[in-house]
Amino acid sequence: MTRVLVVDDEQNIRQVLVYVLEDEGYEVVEAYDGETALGLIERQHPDVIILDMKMPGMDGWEFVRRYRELYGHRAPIIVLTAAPDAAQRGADVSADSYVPKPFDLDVLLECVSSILGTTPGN
Amino acid sequence: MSISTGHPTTSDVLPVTLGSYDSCGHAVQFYDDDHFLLDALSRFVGSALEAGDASIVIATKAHRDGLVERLEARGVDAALAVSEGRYVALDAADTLLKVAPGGQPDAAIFTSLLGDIITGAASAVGHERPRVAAFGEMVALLWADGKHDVAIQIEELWNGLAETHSFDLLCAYPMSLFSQSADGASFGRICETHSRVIPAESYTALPGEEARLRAITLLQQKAQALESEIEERKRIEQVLRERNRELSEAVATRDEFLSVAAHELKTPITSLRGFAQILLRDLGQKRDISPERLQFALDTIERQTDKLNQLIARLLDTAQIEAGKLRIEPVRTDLAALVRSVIAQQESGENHRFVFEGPEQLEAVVDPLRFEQVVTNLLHNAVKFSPEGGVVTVALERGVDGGVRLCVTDEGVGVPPGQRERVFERFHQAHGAGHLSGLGLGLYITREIVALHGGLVWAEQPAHSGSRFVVALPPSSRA
Repeated sequence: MTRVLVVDDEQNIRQVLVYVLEDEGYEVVEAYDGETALGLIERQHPDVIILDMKMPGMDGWEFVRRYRELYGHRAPIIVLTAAPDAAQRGADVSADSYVPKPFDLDVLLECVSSILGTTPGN
Repeated sequence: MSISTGHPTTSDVLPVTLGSYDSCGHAVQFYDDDHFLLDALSRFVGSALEAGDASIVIATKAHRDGLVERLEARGVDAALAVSEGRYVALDAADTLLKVAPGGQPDAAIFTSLLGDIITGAASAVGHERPRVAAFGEMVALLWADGKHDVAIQIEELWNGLAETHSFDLLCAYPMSLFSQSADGASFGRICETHSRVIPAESYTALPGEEARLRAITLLQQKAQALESEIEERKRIEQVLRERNRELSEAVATRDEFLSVAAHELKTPITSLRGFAQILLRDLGQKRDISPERLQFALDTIERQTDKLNQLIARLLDTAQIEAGKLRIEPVRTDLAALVRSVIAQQESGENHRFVFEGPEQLEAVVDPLRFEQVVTNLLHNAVKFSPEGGVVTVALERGVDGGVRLCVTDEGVGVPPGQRERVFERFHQAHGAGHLSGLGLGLYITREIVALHGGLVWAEQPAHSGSRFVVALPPSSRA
């Protein structure tokens, strides 16, 4: 089963993602900041990471830096951002893709499935 | 006893015009108007030719032609003097090309060319001790061209030539070449290379010593006023630069604020849109929504619209404060009850423990809605910057002076000493890098509301860790 790691400090936004991704057949793991997310990766082996950038504690930038150091490009990273230029923000951390906030659920799902090149069940 | 008010009868100052051809050494004549120069020049050259002596004029065509006209008007036969070899007129630009080939003066060429001309003219004079009156404006051409160093070199070559040849030399510069205050130094260098300096006609044309002394006095006053004006302008320029820097900083702060505000507004909107779409998908795909999910979605929509509303209220409050339009309507209010009710609202949604220390009732004259905002902001900050499960203590008391004191103490990260004033500034976030949420307006609005009540708010470091915010209302707030 395809496993998605959702990293966002806003509980409501994580809940939206959990609902929609689980409905589509993904398994979802949640983290509220970068540090918690790093701690989860070794045990959970996510296939894709959906990452908010502005978070208290370890933010998205620091998370990507540490993640690349430890794991390189093991799982693709989708940046989820409220910044005015979402594409630029994604490029800043050489993310694999980006989705601007407030996001459309269909756009987000399309982004996840196209980056994985598979359907959720496989 | 009488005081003499008569004009001075003797003068020990140098003659300031070249009234007739006298031995002037190496003189420089400054001038404003061409006619004045030509008049002075025709007296200098005319008196030499009239006395049977020689003259050499190295000038522009306009000046050479103007001079010949004036000489004829004076009754001097210039053509005859030319044919006798006593009068030599040369073009300034052409002569310059010869003595300074490639733009650089050649001392050997200068000395031999001009030395020969002076010697030739002197030998054409029919009497003993011949005099040569020379006029040159190659230097003025160079100066007008910005070639100041070359002009000074030419002036010095003339001085060198005077050591081996006998002649009187007059140079002329229009004053318009020196209209900048930065020209002062080079103007001084020109004066230094001449043995005699003749001011422009605004001074030399004045009739008599008394008028000239008055003119000098007026010029001194003008110089003084200009000096002061320059100083004043420099000061204003400095102030303007400073002000410009402040404005740029203010614009940068506002830009940063707008980007933070947009981000803050997008967060609740993301939740609202997300949950609305979740419910629509459920209806569309499953034709059913689980009650649990519906409950969660509606709770979130309720809370996030409230959050949006608060953000917008803060933006509007800030706009009102900046326009000086924020007003309060103070009425008799039980502050103890007000504080307890704010605590009760906060407790429902937070994992912090609140302790209220204060009397059962404490009446004061405040705007209850605005004061509730103050307490809410302070409690919200205490919660935001302290760990879950931390204790927030709210103490309310009547001060010894009859005023009111409200203290909100938390066990959180605290306010660094350097930030204790700045946290109340508009758009300021002491922990921006770590926490990042919020507009940086809560404490700014708090301070403004407290100030409208005549009170003060400040941040302190309690004995243990954490922070304490103190609101002090004056005795006049007593009910």
